[in-house]
Amino acid sequence: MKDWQIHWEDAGAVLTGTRILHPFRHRFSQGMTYVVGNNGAGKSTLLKLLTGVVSPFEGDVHFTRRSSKGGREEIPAREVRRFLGYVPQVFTGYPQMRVEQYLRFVAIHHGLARCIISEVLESWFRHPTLAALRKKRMKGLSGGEQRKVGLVQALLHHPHILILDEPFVGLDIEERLFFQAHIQRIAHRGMVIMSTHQLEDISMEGTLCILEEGNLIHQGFTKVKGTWLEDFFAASVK
Amino acid sequence: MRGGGSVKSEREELDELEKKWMSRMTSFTTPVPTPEDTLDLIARVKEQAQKPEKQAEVAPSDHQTGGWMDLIISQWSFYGMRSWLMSAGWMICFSLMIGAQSITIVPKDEAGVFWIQAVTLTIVLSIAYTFRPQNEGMAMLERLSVYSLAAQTFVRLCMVMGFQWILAIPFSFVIPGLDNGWLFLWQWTIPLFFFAVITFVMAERWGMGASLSVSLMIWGGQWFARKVLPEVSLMVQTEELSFRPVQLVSLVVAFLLLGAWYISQRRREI
Amino acid sequence: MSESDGADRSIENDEASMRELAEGNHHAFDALVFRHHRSLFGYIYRLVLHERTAEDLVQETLMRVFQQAEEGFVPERFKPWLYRIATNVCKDHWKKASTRHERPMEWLQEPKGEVVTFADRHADRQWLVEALHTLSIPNRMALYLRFYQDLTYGEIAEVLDLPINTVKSRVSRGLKALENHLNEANDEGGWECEVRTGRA
Repeated sequence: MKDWQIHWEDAGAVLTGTRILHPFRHRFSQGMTYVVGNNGAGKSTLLKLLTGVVSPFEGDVHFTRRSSKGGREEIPAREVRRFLGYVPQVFTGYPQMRVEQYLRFVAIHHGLARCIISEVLESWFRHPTLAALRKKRMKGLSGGEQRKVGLVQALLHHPHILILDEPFVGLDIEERLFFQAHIQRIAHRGMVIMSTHQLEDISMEGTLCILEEGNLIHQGFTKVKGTWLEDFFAASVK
Repeated sequence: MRGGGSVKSEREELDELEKKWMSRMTSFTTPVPTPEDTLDLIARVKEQAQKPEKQAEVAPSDHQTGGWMDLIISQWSFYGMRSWLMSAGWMICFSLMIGAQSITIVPKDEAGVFWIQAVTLTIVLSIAYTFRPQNEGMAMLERLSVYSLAAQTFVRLCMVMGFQWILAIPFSFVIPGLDNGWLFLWQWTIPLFFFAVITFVMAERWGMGASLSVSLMIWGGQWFARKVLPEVSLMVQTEELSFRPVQLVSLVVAFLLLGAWYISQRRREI
Repeated sequence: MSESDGADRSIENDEASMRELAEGNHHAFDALVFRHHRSLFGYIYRLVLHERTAEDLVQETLMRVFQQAEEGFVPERFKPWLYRIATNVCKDHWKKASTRHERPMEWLQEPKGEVVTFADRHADRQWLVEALHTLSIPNRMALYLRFYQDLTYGEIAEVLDLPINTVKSRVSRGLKALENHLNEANDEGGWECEVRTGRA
């Protein structure tokens, strides 16, 4: 994939008069990035801004990728959408739709050609954890089931950039491993940014961004087990 | 004869050998590409093949062929077959009820106006249902589509309006006391369009709650105006003097509102 | 012969998709690739025995398909045409490799552990791969097209641009050679057990 980067340049967020994110600079690059912090630290707002759909209160968030000439070219947020997958913190789908119908709808909106949509969906529904959901209406899904559909809709078009807001809440270990494998594959070739407040979600080496009260208080590399990260989780993130 | 015999035996021999080796050959397994590899490969080939048109690849031109069709299909499924059927059923009941009432309660020459009131109320409620508020996550996902939000909403509006309009046509011809069915079609189409547009544009601007109340107020006001100030009422008979000006003004207002909405959408998306 | 990805179902569609692609509908290409990627990869992989190279050659093959379609060319029968292109791409690759002083046989050395096979079938596979590689490349191609790509002799003749009888005699010669190998192996007592197990 094209070596995407998201440039976070002093972007901040204010919601109904309350400051959610203070301006900072960071460059999100290829591979895995974990965004860690307590509830209310501003993780979800950060991820929303990273999709390019919401504009920051101040500063700038923009996307670049390697151009054919060798340098980097800026790609407008509108064009990035077809390469981007996003799982919001609250995902419900459309209650009146069946799961298969919804995913077909999403596939069209991801720009997949109509002739391959069935084949793409088949390949997902082959997995037993999803096969059972196929004909269910979305309003009848449990929290965990909604989560799974939420993840599939973001992965359907094999995005280059994947943004996940607490993606594994409510999933059992097997389901988690299933989706983790898909996410890892994308992280190897593209960019994955995932927020979490659970240590066991941090299963890959990558970049770590820690947020606290809307400030980026740490950026560095994850060293998966037996490091200060565990202490950090024990002490601060609940 | 000998030659033919040898050909036959060669073929038999080959068949036999093939059968024998068929299963043995299966052990030469190969890695299998995943569907994701396939998607990746497709993207690579297209990219490589279109290198001179690099800019075109980034622009959404790829989606212009059949793109609108895809969008229409997706919006149809968004509304859901059940909702379409329910809204059709409702419309039919409504029309039949008014048709029946028109004959008995409403004076014969007022039946057309009464029917227009009903159709416009239907469209206001249909639009309110179609554009009911989504939760934030789903609204975000809608905006992440390769289709602009303006295009999605516009197609949805057109589909609901078109569906209600087509559904209302047969009933417009069975309303009693009308000499000219075609003129009547024109007479009710414009109020339908007008109410659909104002409900939609106001909902986009101020939210569905406000929009629905204002639309219903305007709708009720029409009913009232018909009695008190007939010159400004949309619910006019074709033979009345104010028919053409009122129709024209409401059409212009509807188009202006739609235009203003479109421009503000474009600005927001850039 | 099961790797053709539902070939029967898609035979008419392939030509239709190709026509659509030639008319400028790029989505038709996606359908073609989805139908043939696996089997095409299998064919090329068996010829070059190197995953990375096979991936590149598959891409090259599909590039040529795409470009031909862009020029408005629609083959009468898609599948033989596709494998003809694939075969030519492999031949070009070997030609290039030989000018870089590499011999095609070098691709025979598969990196260890690259292919995951079940342990009990591994010995079988290795025996078969080695036996197949004692055959000439043209004979091997004919065998692969027959056994793994599920083509008729008529179609193979189209792919390799040869008379049907020549194709048949190549397949027959190839199988007899394999048969001899098997007998030799049996005589040595080495492979008999593995080759027979897991069959029946």
